Order: sequence, then C-alpha cells, then structure tokens
Amino acid sequence: MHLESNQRVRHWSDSLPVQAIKWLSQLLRTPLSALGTLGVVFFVLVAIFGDQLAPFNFDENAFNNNDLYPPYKAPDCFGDGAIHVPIVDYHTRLFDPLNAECKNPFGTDKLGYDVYSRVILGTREIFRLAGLGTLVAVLIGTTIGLFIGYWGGWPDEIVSRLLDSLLSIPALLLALILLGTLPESATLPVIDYHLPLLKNSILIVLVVVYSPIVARVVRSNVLSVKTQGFVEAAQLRGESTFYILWREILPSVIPALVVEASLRFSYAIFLVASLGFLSLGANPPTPNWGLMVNDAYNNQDYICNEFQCYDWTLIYPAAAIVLLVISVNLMSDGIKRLVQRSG
Amino acid sequence: MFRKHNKKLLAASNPMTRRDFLRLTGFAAATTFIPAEFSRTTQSKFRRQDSAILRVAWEQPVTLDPSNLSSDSEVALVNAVYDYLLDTNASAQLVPRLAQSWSMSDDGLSYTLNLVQNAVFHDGSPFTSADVVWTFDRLRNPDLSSAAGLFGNIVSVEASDPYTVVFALDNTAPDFLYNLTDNRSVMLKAGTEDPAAAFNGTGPYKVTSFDAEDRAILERNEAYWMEGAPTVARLEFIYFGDANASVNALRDGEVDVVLRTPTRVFQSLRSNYNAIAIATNGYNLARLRHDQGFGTDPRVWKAFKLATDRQKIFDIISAGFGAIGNDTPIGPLYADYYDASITLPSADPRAARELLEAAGYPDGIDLDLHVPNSGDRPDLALAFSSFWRDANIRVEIKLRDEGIYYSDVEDNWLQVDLGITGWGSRPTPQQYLDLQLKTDAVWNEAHYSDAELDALIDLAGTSLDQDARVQAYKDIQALLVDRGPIIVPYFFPQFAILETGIDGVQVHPFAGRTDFRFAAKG
Repeated sequence: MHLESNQRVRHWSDSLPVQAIKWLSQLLRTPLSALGTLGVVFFVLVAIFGDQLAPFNFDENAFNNNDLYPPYKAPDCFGDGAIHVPIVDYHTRLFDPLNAECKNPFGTDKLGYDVYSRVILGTREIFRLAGLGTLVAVLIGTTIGLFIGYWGGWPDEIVSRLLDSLLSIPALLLALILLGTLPESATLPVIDYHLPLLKNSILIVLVVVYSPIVARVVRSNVLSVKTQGFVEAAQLRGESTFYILWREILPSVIPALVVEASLRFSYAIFLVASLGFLSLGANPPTPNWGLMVNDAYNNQDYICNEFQCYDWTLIYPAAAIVLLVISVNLMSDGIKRLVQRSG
Repeated sequence: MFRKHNKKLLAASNPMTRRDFLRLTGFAAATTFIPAEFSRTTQSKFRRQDSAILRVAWEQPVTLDPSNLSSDSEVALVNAVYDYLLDTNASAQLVPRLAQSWSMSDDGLSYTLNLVQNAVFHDGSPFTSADVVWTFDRLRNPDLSSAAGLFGNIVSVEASDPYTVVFALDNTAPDFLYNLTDNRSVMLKAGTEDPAAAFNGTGPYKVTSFDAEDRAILERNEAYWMEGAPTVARLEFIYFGDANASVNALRDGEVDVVLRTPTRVFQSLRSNYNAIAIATNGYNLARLRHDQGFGTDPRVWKAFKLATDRQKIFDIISAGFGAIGNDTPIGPLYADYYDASITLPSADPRAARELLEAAGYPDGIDLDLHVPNSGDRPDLALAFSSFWRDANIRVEIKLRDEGIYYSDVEDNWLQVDLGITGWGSRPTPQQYLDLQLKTDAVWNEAHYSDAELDALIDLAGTSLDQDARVQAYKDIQALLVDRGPIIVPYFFPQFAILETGIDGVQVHPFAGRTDFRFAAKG
C-alpha cells in the first residue's frame, strides 16, 4: 500500500515538466491539435513581445501623434502591382510589406488609432483577463472541489447546492448581473489591489462564473479517487487532510484539470470579447478586441458605399478573436484526447 | 445633394430675422406674420393620413414630470402630448402655439398673451388662462420644478379673462418670451395631481400606452385645436438603450426616424436615407468642479484648457460639420452676440504642465472622466484624454448611461468632479448663462462662482438696450475665454436620418422639440 502511494506521487509530481513536454510533442502529432497549439503559441509570443511588435502605443491617435493624422488610413502594406484573377475577373493587390509604405498594416480607425498595434497589444489584454481569470478560477475551483469532495457530508451538500445555483444561471447573464453590481475597477479581495494587472472587475466575473464549474469537475474526480487504496493508506498513516489532498488526491485530478482549464480558457476569451463588445468591463481606449469590434460596428465602418469603406477596423480585431478561440479549442480538444488515451 | 443642402443650412442659419425681431420694442408686429406663413406652408402641403404610423427612435426616458425633464426623449413625449405657449422654429424664431399673439408693456415689465380659444385637454375640458396660471405656479415652485430659477423673475401670472394671461416681471427681461418656450413649460391642466402619469394635455397626440422600457404609442388627437393637424394617425416613440440599437432598427425597417445620430453614423447612412443636418447651438462641454478637489485651484483648470486643441477635435470628431467652439456657450448661430474676433491660444501642453507644477502637482494629476455614452461624446472623451495626457493630466474614461447620468442618482452629472455634458440647442444664449454659469444656476455643473460674470449675465438678461446687451455678451465671452469653467470645442449640427418618402418632419435644433404634427409618409 505504502509503496503504491509513493509510486503514484512520483509518477505525477516529479515528472510534471517532462510530462508536459511529452504532451506537447504528442499534441503536435495530430494535424488539427498541432494547428491549434501552434496558434496558441503564436498568440502567446505576440503577447510577450507585443511592445517590440507594435509600432504605436495603444492610446496613440490622431490627436496626440501627427503620424496618425488624418484618421481612417487604409491598410498600406499592399504593393502597387495588381494581380489579376482571371476566373472571377478580379484584381487584387499583393501583400508586400517590404516594398510598400507599410506604416499601418491594418489601417487606422476614425480617431487615428493604429489597428495593427491595438490588435497586437490586445493579445496581452486578452491573455491578462482571460488567462489570469481562468487561472484564479481554476485555483479557487480546485480548492473548493478538493475539500467538498473529500469531506462529503453536509459541507458538500451546502456548497454543492450553492455551486448548482450559480451554474443554473447562463454564464453571460451571470456576468452581466455581476458587472451591473460591481464597481468598475473592483479587485479580487484576496490579492494585493495595488497590482494594476488585477484591477478589473472582469477578473472577478470570470472567477465567479467559472470556478463553480471547475469545482464540480474536481469534486467528481475526488469522489472516485478518495476511495482508492493509496488514499485510505495515507488516512491510516494519520496524515493530515491537507497532505492527503495535496500529495495523494490532487495529482490524480490534474489531467482532468488541465483539460478543464484549457476549455475554460477558450470560454473566457469568448466571454471577455463578448463583454468588451457590449462595452462592459473595458473602457476606451483599452485595446480590447471586443471593444474594437463594437466601436467599428457602432460607427458603421463596415458599410461600404460611395462615401466610405473602412471595413478594416472591424475585420482585423474580429479575425483575431476568431483565430485565438479556434486555436485554443483545437488545442484543448487535443489535450482531451491525450488525457483520455493516457487515462 | 446632401452637401448642397447641408452647406446652405449651416451657412444661412437665419439669424437676421431673429435679430430684427429682437430689435422690435413691441412684439405685436411679429405675431401677424409668422402664424400666417406657418399655417400656409404646413396645411396646404400635407393631408391627414388615417392609416399612417410614424415610428421614431429615442433613448429611454427617465423623468416624466414635465416640470423636471431634460433629455430629448422626455421632451419629445411632452411635446407630442402637451402644448407649449410658444415654440421656436429651426431658425430660433418665435412661433405661436397656445399663445396666438402677445404684447409687451412700454416699461418692459409685463407681457400679455392671448390664448387660442378652441384648445381642449384630452379629458375634454377646455384650456383656459386658469390652466396657464396653475402651470406657472407649479413651474415657479422650486420644490416641484427645476425651471423655478428660469422663471424666478416672474412676480405674478394673472388671468385677466379666460383667454388672456398677464405675466408681471420684477425686472426687464428682453428674452422673456423665449423663456416661455423652455422645454419644461408645457401647459398642464389646473389641479393635475400627478403630472408624471396623467398625460392630460392639449397636444396633438394622446397617449394610448406607455412603457419607458419599450415604447409610447400615441394616437392622433382628433380634437386638436390647430386645423389639419396632426396629419399622421399614429405616432410611436420606440425606446432604445443606445444610439446604435436605434440605427440598427432603422436599417431593419423597425423605425422610420432616428434623430441625434453621431457624426460617423450620419456620414455612413446619408446616401441611402433622407438625411437632414441643421445648424444648432448645441455643444458638448468638459468641465471640472470648481468647489472641490483639483478645481479649487484655477491654475489646474487653466492647464486643462491650455492642453486642448479645439481645431483638431473639430476636424476629426465633428468632421467639419457645425462650427468650432471657443469655450463659451455663445456660438455663431447667435450672429449678433457672437464675438467672431476671439482667438484661443493654440494648444500648449508644456505650458499646461508648468501650470500644474506651479499648482503643486509636479507629477501631474489622475482623475476619472465621466462621459454619457451617447453621440460623439465617447470620442470626445478620448480626444480630451489624449491631449490632457501630454500635460500630465491622466484621466480614466468612465462611460455612463446617458439617461441615468442626467437623472437624480448619487454621482450624476452635477456631482462628478470631471465630466462631459451635452447641451442641446437653445434659442437664446441667455438660457445657457442663466441655467449653467450663474452662481445660483440650477445646472451650475462646474459649481462655478464669479461675481463679475454674474453681473454681466444679469445685465445681458435684463437690458432693453440692444447695444448694451451685445456688449455684455461679448464681455461674457472674453471673460469665459480667459477664466471660464467650461471647454466648448465645437457646436454640433442636428442630424436626422429619415426613411426615404417621409416628409414634413420639422427637425428642430433641440431634437426633442422636432415637430411631427405635419409629417407625411409617402
């Protein structure tokens, strides 16, 4: 019994980095999950090196930067030579960043904000909100799930019903209710509020919306693990509850948790973008993709007629949302398959 | 087609007639001229349309008591259900409504109004001078009405016969008749207990159903006193949470008329609809409370003003529509009173930073900027924050729901430290000064107090000597440019988008006062 317990612990915790690399290489083996994983890695790199990639700051516009005046500059990375597509009789210009002027690859919007820079810097914003929100939701949800699953009895009953009641409200609706009641720059009460990184009520929304789901998943896993021999052995040894949860049960829950976390992350991206589109939780000029889409939509930039055509202000942030959500979904599908296979 | 139309309207805002009118010492001459012209053009051209429904998009109304309302949708509702004594038209001329003619005493201290004799309330009772007396008693009661300050100069309102009312004033007030056109001064039935719910007016439309969250359905008042009006059998005011929702509803064919469209939306839709732009004196201002916080030091607000580039704001946000502003509420629409010679210093963020340093803020200041989420105001907030940031004034933009921001909530537009406010067009500059900039003004949102300014406002508002008034308004502008509490970057036009085939809607500089009585749906 004792031996089995130790083996199990070593199997999961000691080799976690190794396991992660193994997983990653396995993820890259199937084309779809490889595509998703590469997409996510690409966006992570964009988020990390955003400052180097973006030629302008997110709040630079035609008012405070003369390079961005006048507003509504068309994307200018297209060369002069047109390609003729004979079948549809259509002329298209070639993307040519080296030879064309290429100052505003995605054009600028009605106030002269550089769409390219804002999409790039928006990546960081989305990872900050959705990533951090998911992380905290997973931490809190895992803690709750571990305890109620392990203890059972009336604490489990009470907390589970509470979680059920939260889960019965659709995520977006719950988010809207919370944002309507929270002050705009509410912070997580447990963390030092001087960190501007955490100063956003959307983080609280993500935590409240997603931690019950994580808690439910963890709880159901704990229920099946806690009856196993190695847990009973630890109990007989007189180990503390914390030790048992941390060293014996948690490692067995991690695979399911990884799948759940990646799924939550893709939902969180969508929720953050949706709330931004509804002008909630993000005030201009934050480079929030949803907010950018909303702005372009409000200004009817997508209408092309004899007076105007500024559809680039809508296309690029919308494409960024679509690409990131699809990438994360493909990746989490891959992770799920891997876990199921190894489980 | 639009450009020509627009240019003409913006350039020729027709101040001549109003100026000539003001110069008249007796007002009787004007009374015979306008109503005849008004009724001739309107009645001959449009016929009653018994099955027509005109659907107009508005923001959701919050305050329904006529004596306290302020927003366009609220005004639009009372303008349909009730009548004013007098109206102004798009060129800021006085137009008779329930008062058909009027005269001023030689000393300028009393005004006699003659009322229409065939007006009846929706409950069937006749409209008489007693209703005017009762309504004005209510409007003058500061506990019941936010218009009490505006009408504070009225000593008494008396009914000399059932269709004649005499207003006695404590001082001369050359703009008094214009005050009677104020948005809140619709005629209520004497003794109405709850004007916010009664909807018992003499107006062209009766309320069939009202839901502030959805719509107001209004049926034609068949007993309306004005012959031939209203033309359209049913008017629906459909309420939307934001401007974009109403524009989408227009595109989906759910509404026929959208007013107050933002500049960008107007530009994108103008080729497919009947697009109308008229000159107004409406403006968006930025102001800082002067009675608390950073604003107590005048150098701080001066830094805000120095850092702002009004020309750029006008070029980018207003896209050249309307007129550039000069930090005073007196725009080029008031041709006589407007001082075209004023030139503002160009934006100088460095000087602004130095001023802040001198005021004891070497690292700059941080504030929240409260902005109603309507029209071009959010864009204006971004423009301000961009300019101000260069002067070390860092603001965080707080978008606020317009209806709530202007209502009676705790941190409303009169309470917040730094905010942007939209001011609709008024027929005279005096109304802005009395409502907004005098020390005891009911909407003194900057909480500003300046004895010299107060004295000039009083002089401009009371003198019967036109030259003295002109001079007073010019002095006021000079003072406001120098040390006034508001930044007015531009005067916006009124944009209206109508479904093609709709005619006869008289778009008003104050959108809520747009006249639908002679509308026709083709």
